[in-house]
Amino acid sequence: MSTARTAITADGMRIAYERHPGDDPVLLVHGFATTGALTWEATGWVRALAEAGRGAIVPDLRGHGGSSAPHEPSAYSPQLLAGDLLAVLDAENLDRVDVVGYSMGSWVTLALVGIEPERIHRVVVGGIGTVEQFARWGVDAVRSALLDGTESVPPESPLAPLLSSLRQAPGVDTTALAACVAGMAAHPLPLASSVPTMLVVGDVDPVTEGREEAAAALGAELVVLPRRNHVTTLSARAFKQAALPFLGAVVSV
Amino acid sequence: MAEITFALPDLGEGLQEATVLEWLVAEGDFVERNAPLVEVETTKSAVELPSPQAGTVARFHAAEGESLEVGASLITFTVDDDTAGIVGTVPVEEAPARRVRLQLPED
Repeated sequence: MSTARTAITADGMRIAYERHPGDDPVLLVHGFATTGALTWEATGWVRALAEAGRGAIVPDLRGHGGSSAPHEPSAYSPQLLAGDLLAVLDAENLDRVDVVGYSMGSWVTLALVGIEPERIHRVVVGGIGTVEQFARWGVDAVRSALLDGTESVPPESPLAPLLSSLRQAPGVDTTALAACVAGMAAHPLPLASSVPTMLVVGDVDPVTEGREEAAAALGAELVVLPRRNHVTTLSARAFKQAALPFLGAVVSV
Repeated sequence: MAEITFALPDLGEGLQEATVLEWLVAEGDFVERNAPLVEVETTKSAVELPSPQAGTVARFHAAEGESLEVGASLITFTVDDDTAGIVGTVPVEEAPARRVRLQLPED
């Protein structure tokens, strides 16, 4: 069974995470407005890693799930959220890990590589291209959709269904999410990697605009999953079948 | 031999249907309990459902791309007669819905 634990960051945030048993655990980093469990457990990732003999560490980033949720935009940046991951690695006494990130979690993963490359073995990032999505659709519009429930983000935006579902979800800290949007968009995307990197995208995911350029900038192998969008890429068996061997895991399926 | 049919579980939060994205097993396969069975998509997320049952896949009740109502038949297994009596309780013990909470925690 997994164990629920908490780590404390350098700036005093409590970061909730689950430690799933197994050797050489893989750090799994979720995206915006979701949780570690929804992103990596419900989609079968933790089970796939376990079948390959690997453990998993599944944190909730600040502003999300069971972790601290500051309301100031200054508490959010790719580097500050990467600090959440560092606190978890320190709490688990892990010198060096493989990391899988998705969507906003990919940017946090790449920021972590920039800060502490010697602690990262290999990374798989997914669901990104070259475009910062909050700035792309308007930081003020996204914040307004979160805080006031206005339909200020165009319906063709991949953010629109997410924002719509958040409006119907009781208990989500939309003020923290709005601060996250402002803080993340105020910093340049960390589009670089100094460790072995793979980029996995859904063929019909508009969030991954600029994917070839992004893969080149990362020096990454690019894997494109046919017919998959930003949501359905995550649960795809083809994603796991590409990522696990890259991370040195033996895949049985 | 006996047959056991499982329905699409309640995926939570008032979602009444889901679409089969990809079957992760084939008809005729023997499947262990808790092995990856099927990927389904709701309006909010995509989830991988583990098998509630060890047995041989007799047939699917929805093709990839088809939508199913919660409670509609999803898959039928063939199992040994002597296990059929026991397994009726298994899905209750390990309700897949526990794994697919579709909303952020309320804290």
